[in-house]
This record gives sequence, C-alpha cells and structure tokens, in this order.
Amino acid sequence: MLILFYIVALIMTLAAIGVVLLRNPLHSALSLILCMIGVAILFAMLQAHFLAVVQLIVYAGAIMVLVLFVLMLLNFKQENLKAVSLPVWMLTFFSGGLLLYFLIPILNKSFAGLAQKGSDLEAAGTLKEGTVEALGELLFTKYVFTFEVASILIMAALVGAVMVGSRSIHRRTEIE
Amino acid sequence: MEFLILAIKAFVILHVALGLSAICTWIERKGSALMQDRIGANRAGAYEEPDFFLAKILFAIPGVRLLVRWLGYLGLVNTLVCDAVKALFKEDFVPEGTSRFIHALAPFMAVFPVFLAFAVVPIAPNFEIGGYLITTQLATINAGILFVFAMGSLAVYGVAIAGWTGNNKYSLLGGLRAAAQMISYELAMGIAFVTMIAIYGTLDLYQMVEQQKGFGWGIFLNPLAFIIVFVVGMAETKRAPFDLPEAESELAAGYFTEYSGMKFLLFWMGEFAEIGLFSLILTVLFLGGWHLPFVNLPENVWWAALIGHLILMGKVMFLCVLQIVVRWTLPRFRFDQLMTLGWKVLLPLSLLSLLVTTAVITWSN
Repeated sequence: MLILFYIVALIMTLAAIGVVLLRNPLHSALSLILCMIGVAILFAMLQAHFLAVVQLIVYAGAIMVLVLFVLMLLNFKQENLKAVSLPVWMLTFFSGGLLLYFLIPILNKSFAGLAQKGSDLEAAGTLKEGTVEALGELLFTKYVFTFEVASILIMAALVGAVMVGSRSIHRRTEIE
Repeated sequence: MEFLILAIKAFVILHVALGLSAICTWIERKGSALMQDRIGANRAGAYEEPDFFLAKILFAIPGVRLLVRWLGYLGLVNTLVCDAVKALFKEDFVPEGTSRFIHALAPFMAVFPVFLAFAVVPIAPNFEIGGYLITTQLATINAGILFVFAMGSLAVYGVAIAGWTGNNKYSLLGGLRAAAQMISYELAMGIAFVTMIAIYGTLDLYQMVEQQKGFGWGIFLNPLAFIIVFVVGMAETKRAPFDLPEAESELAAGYFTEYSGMKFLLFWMGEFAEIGLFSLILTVLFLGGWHLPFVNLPENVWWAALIGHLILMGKVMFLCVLQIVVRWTLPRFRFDQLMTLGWKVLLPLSLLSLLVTTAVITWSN
C-alpha cells in the first residue's frame, strides 16, 4: 500500500511540474488532468471512495473539460520559455523548500496514521466515515444550511452566466 | 491467492468486454445488412482453399473446414479477422502541425474509461469455489454506480482531444460537438441514476440486482428512468440518431477524420464496448440482472452462477440488438435539435421522475 502511495505521489509530482514547465498549453492541461486523477487515487487509498469518484466527475470530468475547450478554441501557439536566470531559479527553489520545511511537520501531526486507521476500520467492517451514507447523513442534518446556501450560490452563478451569454447574442442580432 | 483470484477475474471481465465489443461489431454489420435488404459480408473464409501450410493441416482435421466455411458465410471471419488485420497493417499517419503525443493519447483516453467501467458491474451472481467466495464485481467500492458515471465523464477527453489534433476545422467542430453532446446528456443520466439509487437505497450494483428478485424489476418500478437512460446511452456512445459528431456524410467522419489503422479501430472498439457497457448497466439497473420471474436459482453454486451469467448476457444482447436496430432506423438529429432534446426535454423529464419517485417513497414510508 505504501509503495502504491509513493508511485502515485511520484507521478503526481511529475505531472504538477509538467503543468508549469511544458511548452504546449494543451500538454499542460493534460498534465493537470493526470494530477487530478492522482488526487482521486489518493482519496480512494484513504477509503474515501465517494470523494474520489466525485473528484473524478466534477474536477477531472467537468472543470478540466471546460479548460480544454477554452484552450482549443483560443488556439494558443506554443510559447517559448524565456531563459530564467540563475538567481531566480535559486530563489524559486529556496522559497519552495522553505514552504515544505514548515508544512511537512504540520501535516504529519494532523494526519498521522489516517491511512492506517482507514484500512483497519475497513478491514473490521465498521468503516463509517467517508461512506456515502455517513456523508449524506451529515450533509442533510448537520450541515444542511451550508449545503443549501452553496447550491443557491451555484445557481446564481449559472443564471449570471446565461444572462451574460444571452446579452451578447441579443446585441449581435440588434446590429444586424 | 487473493491476488490470483483478482487477476483471473480481471482477465475474465476484460474478455467479456472485448467479446461484447466484437460481437456487437458483427451484429452491426449483418444486422444493418438485413435491415437494408442486402446480404452483408459473407465472402471471407467461405470459399477459398488455404495454401498456408499450417492452415492446410488445420483443415485436415474433420469438422474444422465445415466450421470455418459456416462462420465465413455468416460474416464472422470477415468482421473479426479481416477487419482487425486490415486495421493493424494500415499506415498510421499523424497530421503535421500537431503534437504526436496527443494524437496517440486520444484513442487511449476514449477507450480506457469504457473498459475500466466494466470493473464495478457484476456479470454473474456470487458463487463459492473451494471455500473462496468469488464476487463477480472486480471492485466492490462503496460508490459503485458513480464510478461508471465518473468514467463517462472521463471519456469526453478522448473525443475532444481527437477533434483538436486533426488540425482542421471539420475535426475540431466534430470533436467539440461530440464533447458538448456528451456533457449535456450526462446530466439527465445522472439524475436518472439518482432516481434508481433512491428506489434501491444503495449505490452498489450487486445489491441493486439482488433487490430485483421475482417481478420487482426496475423497469416496472420506474419506466421513465429506463427510457431516459436508454436514450442517454445512445447519445453518449454517439450512435444515431445522435451521431452528428461522426456524421459520415456531413463532417467527413468528424472527429476521427485523421485517424487510420489501429487508432481508428480503438475508437471503433471503444464505441461498441460502450454500447455493451450501457446495455449491461441498463440490464443490471432495470431489467433484473440475472433474475427471471419464475426461476429461482440456488445461491452460491457455480452452475447457478453460470446460468445467471447466461441469462444476463441474453438480456444484454437483446438491448445491444435494440440499440443497433434503432441506429439503422432513425435519421440523425440536427445539432440544435439534439441540444434541445438534452436540455429542454430529458433534463426536465428526469427531474420529474426524481420528484415523483421521491414523493412515492416518502409517502409510502
């Protein structure tokens, strides 16, 4: 299980580096998709199956499709990476390393033993968090207000998008 | 030992998927020929004498010659052998000005989610052999049917990217149309799935089949959802009447214009595997899986599992043939008619079905 985590983490890291460093923007988008599939695999390894599947449906299946559409319709040319000077590289690595140095002990302390606990509970058959039933119960009893407010927010964004889109169509037909 | 069982299960399920894809190809060729009042492929393997040394030896065994002649006359040799060999040996060209990597990646991304979705669908009842309980689902994850939905979402990429790497406007248009069509119809499918989840109370596909013993088939409980998922299944696989993205007479094969050889065969096989997948999902959700109304099979016995599997495959074949018949009967939709159907007809219908189902469930408790 740990080996699988290291392999997936390695692929995700390379994909994330690829998002930044690849020249073709479509290749960057595909690397980002690979990174998100890796995140879904990590969720599944932590026994959060529903979250893994929803990550695939929403993030990798809808949001990245939107990004891909935009990239394909705008048809960017391959950009040439300007040569980055050495002091800037050093500053990049130094700041990244500093962030990691402070972040890793914090993450270790908060999430210690989570994967092991998840697989122990699942082996014992008493896994209750992260399953769809537990999640649904929480969403509709304890956090129902947050849930409904989030859905109204998304609907407001949808209505706004349709309004902005239809206004530009109307203006075009007025001119003609 | 667990790993060995898993490997064998994966092997078997992959072959079920590939077998469904191959048989659907053959049914399409011969079935379309029958419906168009012509004969179809019946020449390869039916008439010629082999002059390859090993084939001569094989033909000397009694019965083999008759079998090959018969299969060739039916068109199986033509579809399964000749098409595959032709696709393997065709020149594989990449249009210039696009990335070769993405050109090679697109068929993979179109086909891989389809085959992966076969992992959560049960193909036979559970049975015991030698003390091991063998579940026919490869992965019994908690969010069973949502995995199929996720794979449907991932299959959009193959189509969109394939349209883009053609580097011409017909491919791009076909690819974008196909992607928009697939995304629009996923909504109605998702809500219809939610309706069935609400009825059965579980997300696991095996539990859903187990609850359909006797007459409690899903199609009697919610026929509207069956129609919606059937229509959406035909739209997701881009079969007619929804096949404007790959319209042969209008877009010059649409998003796979620039693909030849094995890559084209991968798209083609992926499409037929998706037909098989949707037939399997429809059977498991709505048509009772491996249960027949008056047949009570004993549990956990291996021959009951085999009979259950054959019953399931019979229903799946019926649905595949139905999809192929519909494809060769109806003319295709215009793109705006297609979008109107997806957003203005199917989505409200699926919401209505969800409303009625949840109302009935609430008031009957």
